[in-house]
Amino acid sequence: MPKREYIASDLADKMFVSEPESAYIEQPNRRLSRFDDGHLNVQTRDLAVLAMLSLTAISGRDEGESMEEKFIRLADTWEDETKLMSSMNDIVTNQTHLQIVAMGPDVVPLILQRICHHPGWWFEALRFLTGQDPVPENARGKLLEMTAAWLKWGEENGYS
Amino acid sequence: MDTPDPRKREVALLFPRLNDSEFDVRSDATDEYNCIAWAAGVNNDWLDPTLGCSWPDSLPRNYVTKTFLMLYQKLGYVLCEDGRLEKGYEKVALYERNGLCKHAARQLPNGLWTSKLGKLFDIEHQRLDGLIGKDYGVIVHFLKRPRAK
Repeated sequence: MPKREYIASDLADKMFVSEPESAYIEQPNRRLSRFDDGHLNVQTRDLAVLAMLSLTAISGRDEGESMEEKFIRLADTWEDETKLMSSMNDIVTNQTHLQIVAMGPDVVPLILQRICHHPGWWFEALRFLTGQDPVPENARGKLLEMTAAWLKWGEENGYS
Repeated sequence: MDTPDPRKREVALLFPRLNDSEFDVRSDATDEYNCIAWAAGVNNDWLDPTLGCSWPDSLPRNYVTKTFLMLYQKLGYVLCEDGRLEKGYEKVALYERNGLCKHAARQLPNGLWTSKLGKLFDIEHQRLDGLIGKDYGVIVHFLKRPRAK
């Protein structure tokens, strides 16, 4: 199976893990939650939908590029494109971020390696890609504490 | 001849309305706090309505400017007319683009303003309109609260 199709299938599996596909078809608004002003509110499942949509925007530019090289290129681009943003919604719905999420769970160790040296707001991607959220409620919004929680999770789950 | 600060050069490129002589960079780049927190004097929190960030439970989770007015009112601010320096008060200016709050700046006791630029630096700037533009939009509200002694 071509790699991209595999990734798309994997994301689809994650999307429908808790509800049958029919639930999405019958109640599409229930899945794509929105802020009450009509703007998209990214929740983990929404990120999956957006990441799948972003697959259509991926060009053949990654031909001959290793996964690590591609991740570093996209991560650097994402950080540059979002450097002036303070809205987390803008930051995680950025097209490059979605392309990283669309690369699938194989990038989890690369993200953990990156935040170990350079903490950043990768937590929504990690939540989606792993299905986990090790961040305690009182640490939300605190970058270093959230990073520490994810790195500890990584160690406990064989990513060190 | 002084070596130009690369951080200052970057800010000048991003905000062409900011005159070089009218601002200075006051920190290194950091993701630890955003402009919304910094405007309220917080430097260890990313205040944002998206789930996973720090946000009061009692407030709506959206980015409309009205919600950010509610946030600052919850933090002790009240709406005020303008950004003129008033003895005993600290002021916050809110920027909006397409109805959504995109930036906040805080007035310092000397009348200058301090802004955290996204995931980049804190700057001190003389004029608020130096940050107006495609990223942060325009200034729509001023708030004030008694300055902590």
